[in-house]
Amino acid sequence: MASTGYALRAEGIGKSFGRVEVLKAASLWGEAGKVTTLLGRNGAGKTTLMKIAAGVLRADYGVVSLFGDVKENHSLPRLARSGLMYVPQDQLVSPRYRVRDHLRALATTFGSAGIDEAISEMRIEPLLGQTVGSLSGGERMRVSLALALARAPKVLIVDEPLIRLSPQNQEALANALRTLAERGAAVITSGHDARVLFSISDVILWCVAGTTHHIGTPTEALAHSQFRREYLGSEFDAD
Amino acid sequence: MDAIVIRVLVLWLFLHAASGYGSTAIVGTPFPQSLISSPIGTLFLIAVIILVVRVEMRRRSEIIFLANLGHSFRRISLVVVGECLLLEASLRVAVG
Repeated sequence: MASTGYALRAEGIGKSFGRVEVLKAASLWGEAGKVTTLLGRNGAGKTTLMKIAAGVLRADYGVVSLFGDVKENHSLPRLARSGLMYVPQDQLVSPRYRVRDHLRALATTFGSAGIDEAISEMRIEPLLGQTVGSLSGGERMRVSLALALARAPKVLIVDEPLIRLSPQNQEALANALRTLAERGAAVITSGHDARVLFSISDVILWCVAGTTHHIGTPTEALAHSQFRREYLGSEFDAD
Repeated sequence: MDAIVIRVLVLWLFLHAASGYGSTAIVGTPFPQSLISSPIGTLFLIAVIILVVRVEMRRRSEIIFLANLGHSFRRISLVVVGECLLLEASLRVAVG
């Protein structure tokens, strides 16, 4: 398998839930220093593919490799020890604990370097003493990305980070993802906010009918007539 | 992980108190010998604690966060078993 150059690569992934085939030969990859964005309609299988790549779900078939090493029976804890971080769509942080507790747990495991900077970059200083349960969706995602910035993972998989966020929060979070990529991380993300995601992405993958298509750069995606017609819609304006 | 260690301690104390009280009231085993459970009872108690810890971790959305720190549930279970065995040994020494 040619995995050189890819930080994370999930290839030929298939997954069924009961009789429903969610993924068939889908692929996902991330390259160091680049933001890869997975776009697709609801129910196309984006979250399932990201969960499999992150080791949260088992694939029925297919191969996942991290830095060229094929990971048999890979799981999130094992991948995390090799430098991967996964931020799910719903909840990375636990509602029962304070924001500070999460940062402390991260510091205990990976050291405290970068924590103060992450707090300042994601503007979460006023939230440190609050329990996560009392935060809004946008604040929770800011906390999640502050944890990611502090962790400085080699690979970050973040599922639909911009969902239900204000435009200001969307921009701040998108910039945080771009910052992580500029620091050398392979960032893999997904969502529907194509305009914002195009502004930070290097590679666009289109997830449709349980499989994925490499569309290319955002500029190439805009020129891709089928992608425009079937996903973005004829009214879409990147500006 | 600290929260899990504390959770196991509280559960262990609660379950031992409950089984000790039951053993004294129903079987008539004198206190504090009633606090000492049989090997099978100890295994059952540890299994219950692991189950409750797992359910609580799901309820509190802790699993993904801890997995991101590199902690698998297998590793967490080993911590739970180790703590329970330590507590069991301490109890046996204390009761004599």
